[in-house]
Amino acid sequence: MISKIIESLKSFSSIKEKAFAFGLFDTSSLIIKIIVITILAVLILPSLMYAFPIVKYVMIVVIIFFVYGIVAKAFGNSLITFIVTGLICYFLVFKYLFLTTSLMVFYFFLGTGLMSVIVWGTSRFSKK
Amino acid sequence: MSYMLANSLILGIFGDFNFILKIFFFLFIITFIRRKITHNVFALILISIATIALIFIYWPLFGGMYFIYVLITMGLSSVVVDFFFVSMDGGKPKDMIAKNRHKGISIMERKDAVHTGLEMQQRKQSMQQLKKFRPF
Repeated sequence: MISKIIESLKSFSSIKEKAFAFGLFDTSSLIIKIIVITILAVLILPSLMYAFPIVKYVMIVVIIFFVYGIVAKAFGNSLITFIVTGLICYFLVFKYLFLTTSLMVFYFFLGTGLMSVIVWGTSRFSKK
Repeated sequence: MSYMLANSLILGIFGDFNFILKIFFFLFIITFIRRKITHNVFALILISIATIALIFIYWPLFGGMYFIYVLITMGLSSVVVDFFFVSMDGGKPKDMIAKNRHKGISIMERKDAVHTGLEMQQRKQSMQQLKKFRPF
């Protein structure tokens, strides 16, 4: 099944034809295109983490600081801050690191307005 | 077997993130009440009451509300507005210009017709007045 799909993809010469074959530019609705492009954009950093371990360690530090900033706002600089930070970081860093990184990237996209760029860019460049 | 494994995995992730959301909501309650009430004992009493009521009793209601609040705070509404702008078909500039062009021509024609009609009436009236005052 997968080999048939790969063979059919090889028959298309350009990237745009392959995208048309997947229905990215032609038939599918705009919301599906935006969701697909967003997921692809969000998954860039986790794939980089998978390829280069140093990116993973950097992201671990970033997530820990992010969580500490939120917890310290509630409890101040005390022992309970470190306990709660450790509890949250056990789930976010050691259990679901890749999922948390994807959510962090999505949060970054929303916070900086990059989602608007993705939405408008997808609608602009998906037209024939 | 694989279905059960996937089911337990998804439920496990959901349960864990539900717990994390509860912790973040607890932190939100503490931050909110400490910001509003500076008296320490009164703040602690209010925090405990709010925690028991909102997290332990009415969590299915307030958990969903807090999740939506977080998404809106993150700026999801602007994305939705962008999507509405992008997906509206009637608001394309080309279509609007084409529609208004047709209307504009008809309006101009009507204006011209009105103007020419008025001019003709004025000329007729002036001619009649001239005829009236003509001595011979």
